[in-house]
Amino acid sequence: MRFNITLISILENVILILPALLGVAFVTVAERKTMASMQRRLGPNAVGYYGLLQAFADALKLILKEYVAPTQANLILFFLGPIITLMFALLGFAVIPYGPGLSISDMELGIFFMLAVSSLATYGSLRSTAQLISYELVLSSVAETNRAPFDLAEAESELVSGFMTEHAAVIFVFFFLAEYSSIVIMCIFTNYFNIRNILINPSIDGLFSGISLVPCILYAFGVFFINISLF
Amino acid sequence: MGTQDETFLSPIVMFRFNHIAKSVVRKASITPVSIPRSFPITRKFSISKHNNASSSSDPTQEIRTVDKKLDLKAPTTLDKTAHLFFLTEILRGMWLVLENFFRPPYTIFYPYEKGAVSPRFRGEHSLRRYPTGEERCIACKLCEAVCPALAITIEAEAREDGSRRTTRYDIDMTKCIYCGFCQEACPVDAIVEGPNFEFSTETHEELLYNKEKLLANGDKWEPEISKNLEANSYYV
Repeated sequence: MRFNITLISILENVILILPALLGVAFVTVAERKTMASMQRRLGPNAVGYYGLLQAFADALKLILKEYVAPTQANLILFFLGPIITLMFALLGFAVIPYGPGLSISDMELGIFFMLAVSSLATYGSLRSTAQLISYELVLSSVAETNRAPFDLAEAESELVSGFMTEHAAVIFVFFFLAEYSSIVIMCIFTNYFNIRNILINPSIDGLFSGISLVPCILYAFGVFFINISLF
Repeated sequence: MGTQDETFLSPIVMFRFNHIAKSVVRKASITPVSIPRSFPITRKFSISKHNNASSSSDPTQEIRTVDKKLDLKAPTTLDKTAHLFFLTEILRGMWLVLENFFRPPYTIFYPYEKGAVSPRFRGEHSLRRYPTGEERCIACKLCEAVCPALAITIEAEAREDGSRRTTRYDIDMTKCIYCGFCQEACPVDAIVEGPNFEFSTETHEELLYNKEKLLANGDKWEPEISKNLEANSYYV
């Protein structure tokens, strides 16, 4: 019996994490397409229909790449950093109520848990911490997702990926996924704070009850929009 | 309201601020301060009369002076602060981005869709023929002489009928700098740079063109080349 409970719990987590990661993958494509449209470009349009599978092509490329680590680095910490970042970024999905009673962990202080965990995701790397800690106090949502004007840590416009410069291959994918999943979580929670009590009938309370997907997407668009226009 | 009305928040917020600010300024300056024009710290930038582009005869108009008159129409400190505080410039930038979001992209779908090429475009070389099929080149070697990159190699002999023709006409396309001097030097319009720019190869050797390749190019591109030469003939 105990075995079954463990199995079911693992299954639940897999059922949650797989769509979450899939969604995050498509969010990356969405951002690139949005950014391209705002800059009067096309963006990815070759892989799959309208470039929808671009994220998977990128991931495949990065996974097949060579692992590189600085000679003086502590190898365990060097590879653990991105893993911790991704783990804590994904932990936020555990407390999202997908429907009445539908969440991995229905804890009392779920929102605080999410905030704490997403901060830890930002703290995965010491350098990103050092650069972001001052902004963390100012404006949380945009700052925590590493977006412009708080993208000092990555500094995408300067071609070098900030603290990610030394990370290659799968390790880089982890950072990437962590960043975008934190965007997704931020959008979902902003939606949860703002819309829940106004629009959604408690009887169909659930963040993916269709009606709340639209504001979620709008928040994501807002994040991209601010990011692009403040470059 | 005489101020610049290009402000983003002008109808709502700026009207009030300007109004208040103006009244304060007017009360403060009942007797308008007049500062003398010829303030000592002025310097003539140019002595020459001919350089004076403006029609005004007063040369001091051209010179930067340090005195500033009290301008009631200039934005007040309150205006500037309000712009700063309400992020008007950032909002205007964001509005611009949003406008462009709804406009079509500029992208040309390159392999399927191609941009316009000028008649003077200097692309891949060709050796042309006369309409009779006789090759134009008379082996005068002017192109070889003029080529600044020394990309052209020509060897010539008399043909059986006595006319001079090339036995070898090689262009190293990896040396060529596509300056078009060979085309300009040619007295019979034999060597030309056509409109083709898509001749990349996988090996270096494929870009060492010989006479056959160049003549084949000429046969292939003759319609375009003659059209371009005709279009450009007015300016030659």
